[in-house]
Amino acid sequence: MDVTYSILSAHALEAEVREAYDIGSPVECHLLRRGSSDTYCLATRTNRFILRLYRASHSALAVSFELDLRSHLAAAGVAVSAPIRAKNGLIALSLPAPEGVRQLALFPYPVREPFNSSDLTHWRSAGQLLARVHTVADTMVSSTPRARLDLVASIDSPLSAVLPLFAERPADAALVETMGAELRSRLEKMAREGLDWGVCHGSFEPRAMHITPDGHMALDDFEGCAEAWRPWDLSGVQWAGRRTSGIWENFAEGYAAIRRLGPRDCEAATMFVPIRHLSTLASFANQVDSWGIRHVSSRALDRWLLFLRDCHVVLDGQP
Amino acid sequence: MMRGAEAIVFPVVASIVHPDAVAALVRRAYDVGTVTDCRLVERGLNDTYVLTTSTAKYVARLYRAGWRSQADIAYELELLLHLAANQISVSAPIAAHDGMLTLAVAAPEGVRELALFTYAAGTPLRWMPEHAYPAGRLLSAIHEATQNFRSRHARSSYDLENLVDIPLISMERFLDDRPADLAFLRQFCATLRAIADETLGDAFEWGPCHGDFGANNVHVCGRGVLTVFDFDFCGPGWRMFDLVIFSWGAASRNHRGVWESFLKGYSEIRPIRDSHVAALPLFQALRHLWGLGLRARNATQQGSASLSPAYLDYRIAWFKAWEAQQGRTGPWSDATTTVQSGC
Repeated sequence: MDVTYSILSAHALEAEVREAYDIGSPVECHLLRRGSSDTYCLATRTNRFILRLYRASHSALAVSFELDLRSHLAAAGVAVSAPIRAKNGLIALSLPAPEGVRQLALFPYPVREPFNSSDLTHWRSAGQLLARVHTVADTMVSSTPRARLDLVASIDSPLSAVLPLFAERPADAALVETMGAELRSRLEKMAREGLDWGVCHGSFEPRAMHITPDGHMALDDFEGCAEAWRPWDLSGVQWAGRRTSGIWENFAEGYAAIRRLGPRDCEAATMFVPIRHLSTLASFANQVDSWGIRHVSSRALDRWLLFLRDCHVVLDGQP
Repeated sequence: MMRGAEAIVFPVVASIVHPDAVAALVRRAYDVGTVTDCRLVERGLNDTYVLTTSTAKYVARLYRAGWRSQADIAYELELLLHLAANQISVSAPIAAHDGMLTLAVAAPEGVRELALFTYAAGTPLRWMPEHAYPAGRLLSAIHEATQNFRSRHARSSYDLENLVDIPLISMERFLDDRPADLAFLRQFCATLRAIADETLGDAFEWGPCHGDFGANNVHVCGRGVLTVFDFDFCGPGWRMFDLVIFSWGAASRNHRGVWESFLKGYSEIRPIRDSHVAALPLFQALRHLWGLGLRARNATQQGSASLSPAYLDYRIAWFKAWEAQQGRTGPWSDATTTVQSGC
């Protein structure tokens, strides 16, 4: 039977980890949540761990790059949880799931407090954190091929994944296409003039951050990491700053204290809001056979378009 | 049996079958015209697909392995056929070539049953009196038409064991690190059971219930033609229990007249006593408890995050507020006439 996604048995994962890792004997393992990767909690008599199981669509190379990046950042003192190596020295295990090979990685269990969006000092720390991630990532030497979010990957491919969803809504399809073309030409121009380029977190937002017991801002959720224009990572914060004053200013101050934050990069960040919005819908479109059509239903498309129009208005106000 | 021919596959507890594979199964086993499209619409306790064929639209449901027994499913489908035969507009099961209502599908996690249903045309019910009134009539008609429904298949029922005792047992391991809450929940269950034992019984009518009768499972088409679907939670229970989901929807939207219109519609077919409506808070508490147990039982597939500390705090607080308001002198203890619509 052809399946698109499966939930692996927690019991079997526990046995797998017992064999492959030198962490003592697991006594319990259970599914915490399903998402762009599935997260399990695994406990031994003395310790707890997070077991992350990537989707089959996440290749071994993509996972390997993410784990290399995490390890590199952690080694440089950035508050990022690094994978635990298996007995054979590997940082990920390949498991033969029915839908294809899935990668498993094991992490220490984080003790943490959630990011508080209404606390401006958190935004300042978030700026410092992201600046350190960008700076330290620039020093990473890794031969692992990584995703590159160039014009094709960030606009053309998502656009062609998304347009069929609007097959029965020609006016909306035209709007999406026009906006895609406009974003492309703006980005091309700005990139020519010079934008910071390098390894990005990819999904930088409050949800990915938390506070460690010693008061550090820590970063997680690296599934979207790739080489990209750095304003990609600034865009979410800048958008949040439109609604609440102080957010962007504190974040930018924090970032600039560690790493140069150019005016061009700040300006370009706005453009990446609709670009990321496009990517999100494209990923729903690409995974419709495993996530279902709910995220691309006509109501969901209405909401998606509404936000795209908001972005359009904001972008139009820019030079 | 061939050995070694198939690659070793990691053990799984659930899987999503590719829509194309579902289309192929339906094409082979049913006489529904040429399947032109099949999409996964919902991943839930079961997975739901919408199929378009050369003749009509259909819904295919793949029951999760181990979720419902064969008897459970047979009861549900028999109930639906009974309702359809009684002119209730339902999404009704369709028999395969071989006359069977279900098809066994070999999924990686084990055998899953597939059932094919007629498509409920229309759009979801909206929380307005114009929709609530026919919805009340529809639920009442379902209850009326099933007064004498008997199935030879056993279906687990909404009795106090399933509403209180089993949810409590299922929840215990999730409250390991919250001893005070566990103690409270035990005491609350005992209180609730005592009240229910005393209040319910023969005074409240018992019979087949839909189990999840709300806006999401009723479609409206054209001028007030309502079709009800998704009987996966059906089973024998107190009929008042079946009004709970709608009462929550009506109250949370805070739209004036929605609940009253629903009750008016319901009571036009089956008279409903004020004292029974006044007992709704009891059924609401039972339903929340049952829902908590459901989350606990499905944690292996939904993830234990569905019982996060925040959610547990919220639910425990609800039970405590309920107890403070209702626990001592419930409005059902005497024939009060207030209509309780709050949740």
